[in-house]
Amino acid sequence: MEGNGGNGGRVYVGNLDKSAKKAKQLVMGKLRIGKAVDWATAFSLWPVHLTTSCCGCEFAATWSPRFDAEQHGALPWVGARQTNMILIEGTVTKKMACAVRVTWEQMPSPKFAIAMGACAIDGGIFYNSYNIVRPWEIIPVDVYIPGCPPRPEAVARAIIELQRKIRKQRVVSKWIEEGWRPDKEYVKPKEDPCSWWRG
Amino acid sequence: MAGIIDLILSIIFYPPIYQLVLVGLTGSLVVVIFIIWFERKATARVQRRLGPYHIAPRLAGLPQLVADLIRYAFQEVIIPRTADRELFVLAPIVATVLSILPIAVVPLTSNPAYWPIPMDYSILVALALTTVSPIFLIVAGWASNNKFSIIGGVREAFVITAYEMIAIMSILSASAAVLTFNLVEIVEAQRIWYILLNPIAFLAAFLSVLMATSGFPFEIPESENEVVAGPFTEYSGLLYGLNMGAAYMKRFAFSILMVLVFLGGWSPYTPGEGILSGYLIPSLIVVAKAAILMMIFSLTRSIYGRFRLDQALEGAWRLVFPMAVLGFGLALLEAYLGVM
Amino acid sequence: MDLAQARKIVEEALSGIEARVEEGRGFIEFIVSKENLVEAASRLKKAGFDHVKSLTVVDYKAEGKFKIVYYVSSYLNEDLAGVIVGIGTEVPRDNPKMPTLVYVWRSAEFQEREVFEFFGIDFEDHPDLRLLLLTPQVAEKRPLRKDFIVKEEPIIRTTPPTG
Repeated sequence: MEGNGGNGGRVYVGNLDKSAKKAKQLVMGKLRIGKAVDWATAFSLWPVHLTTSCCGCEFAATWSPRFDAEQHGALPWVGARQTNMILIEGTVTKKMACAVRVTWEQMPSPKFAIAMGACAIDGGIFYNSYNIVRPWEIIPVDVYIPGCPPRPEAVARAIIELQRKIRKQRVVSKWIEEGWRPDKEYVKPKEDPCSWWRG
Repeated sequence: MAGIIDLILSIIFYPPIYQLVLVGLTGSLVVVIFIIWFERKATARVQRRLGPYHIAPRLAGLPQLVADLIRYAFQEVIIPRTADRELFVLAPIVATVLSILPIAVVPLTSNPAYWPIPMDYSILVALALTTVSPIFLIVAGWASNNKFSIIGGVREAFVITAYEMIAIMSILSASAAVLTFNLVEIVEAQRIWYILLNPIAFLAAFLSVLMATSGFPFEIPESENEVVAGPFTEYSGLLYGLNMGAAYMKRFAFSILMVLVFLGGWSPYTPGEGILSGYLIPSLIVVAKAAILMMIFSLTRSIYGRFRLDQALEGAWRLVFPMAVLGFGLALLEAYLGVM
Repeated sequence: MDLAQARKIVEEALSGIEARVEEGRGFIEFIVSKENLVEAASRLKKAGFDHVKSLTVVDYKAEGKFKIVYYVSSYLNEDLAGVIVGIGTEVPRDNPKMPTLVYVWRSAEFQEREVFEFFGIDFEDHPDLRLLLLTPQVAEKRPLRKDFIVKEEPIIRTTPPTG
C-alpha cells in the first residue's frame, strides 16, 4: 500500500465491536467466569434508597435487626450509581414517576427492579386515580410482591426469588455477553414522566 | 530445577516487587476483604443482626466482599458527559496506587539483604508518601463536576489540614525518642513496645489515621446523609470499587507504619538468614499485627456517630494537636532520660 | 375552656364585623365576607390564635360557591389551646379569588398552595403560589372540584395489562 510511510506500510483493519464481543464471549463462556458473575450479582443486590410511598416503612423493617435482609447480601445504599436494584415501594404518583425513571437511568447496567405492594402491581386502592402511574409502565419489573403493605418476610422472599432467577436463567452473564438484556424488553415510557419538570 | 526455583523465588522476594505487589496489592486486597467483612459482621453483631450470611453459611458469609468486588468489576462504568474524562478515570487509579506506595519503602525485616531502600531516612519517606494520595480524592471530586462531589472534595481538603500535622508529629515522636530516622533502628530499639512508653502519641496517631481514612467518627468527606457519597458520587462499577478500596488500602499502609513504630514491628521474632526466616515470617507478623490494628479501627464504625465538619476540625486542632505535641515532648523527655 | 367560652372570646374580637356563625357538635365556624377576612383574621391573631391547623374547602356546586374555612388554634395561650375555631369566607365558583392570609398566619402558606392546585382558588398576593403536589397537566383539571368526575374502571381486569 502506498502511503506516507513509503514502501511496505500496512494498515490492519478490524471491527472493534466484533472483536470486543468475541473477547466478551471468550471471557464469559470459555473461561467460566459467567457463572461466577451470576453468583456474585445474585448475592450482591444493593437496593437504592428511593422511597416512593408508604411501603417504605416495610422496606425499613426488612433491613432492621429483626428481619435483617443483609444476610442475603443486600445492602441499601444511597447513591444510585453504586447500586444495582431498585425496590418500588407502593404507589408511584406522577411526580414520583420522574424520580423513579431518573434513578433507574442513573444506575449502572446489570440492574433489577422489584415492585412492592398492591399499588405497584395495578394501582391497589388507587386503581382509578387521576394521579398515579403503574411502575411497569416506566421500568421493567422482575418480581412483584402482593400485599398492602407486604410483610418484611415477603420482601426477603422477593430478594431470594430474584437471586434464584438470576442464577437459574443466567441473566447477568447473558446480559454482559449480549450488551443488553435478552429475556426482558426494554421499557420505554409512552409519555415522558418528567415532562412537567422539563417544561 | 533447583536453580529455576531459586530464580523465581529471588524474583518474587526481590524487596520492591515483594513489598509493592505481594504485600502491597495482594496482601492489602486480602486484608481489606477480610476487614470489610469483619466490619459488616461486627456492626451486625452490635445491632443484633446476622450480617452477611447466606452466601456461605459455613464460613459465616466470608466471601461476601468477593461477590461485591466481582459485581462491581462487571458493572457498567458510567462516565458522565459533563465530567472531565481523563481526570475522572485516572484519579481513582492513581489514588489507589499512591495509597499503597508507603508499604514499598518501609522495612519488613531487620535483615539488610531484604530492605527495599536504604533505611537511613525511611520514616520520613514513608510519611511523605502517605500525604500524596488525598489530593487525588479532591481531583476526583472536581473531575466529576457534580455538586455533591465538589462539596465532598472540599471537605476532604479541610480534613487534610486537620490530620496531616497530627499524623506526622505523633509518628515522628518515635524518632525523637530514639534519635534516628531509621525505621529499623526504631523497631530494634523497642525492648518495650513504644505504645507503652508513649500512649499519648499512639492515641493521637490513632485518631489522625481515623481522620485520614474516613474512619467513623470522622467520616466527613463521604457522609451519606449529607453529601451522597462525597467525591465518589458519580463513580460506578470498577472505578467506585477502586475508590472504596483506596481508603482501606491507605488505612492498611498507615497501620503497617503504626505497627512498626508503636507495636514493635516483627517484635517477638528475631529475623535470621534466608528468605523464610529473614523475610517471609517477619513480614507476615507485621501484616497480621496491622490486620488486628485495622480490626480495632473498624470497630469504631458500629460505636460512634459522625462529627460535623467544624466539630472535627475544632477537636483536631484544640484537643488532638496539643496531644500530639505533648506526645512529642514526652518522647524528647524519654530520649533525655535514656529510657529507650 | 369549652366552646361557649371560646365563642364569646371570638365574638368579642370580631365585634363590628358581620359574621355568620355555624355551630355543630364540637366545632364552631365564623363566616365573614371576603373583604373583611384579613381584618377578622388579624383580630383573631391578636386574641391569641397563633396558627392555622387546617384549611378546608367545600365545593357547593348547586349554589355556585366555595366555602373556605381556616381552622385556627393556639400554642402559646394555654386556655385557647384546647379549642379549634374556624374563620372562613365564601367565594363565587366562577371567579374564585380571595385575599391570602399568609401574612397573618405564616403556617397557611403551603395549605393555600394545596388548595390552589386542587380547587383552582386564586389567593391574591400569595408570596409563592406554585403547584405543590400535582403536575401541571393534572392540576389543570382541578381534580377536587365536584365537576371533575373520576372515570370508573372495572376492578377486575378482563384484558391483560398493556405496556
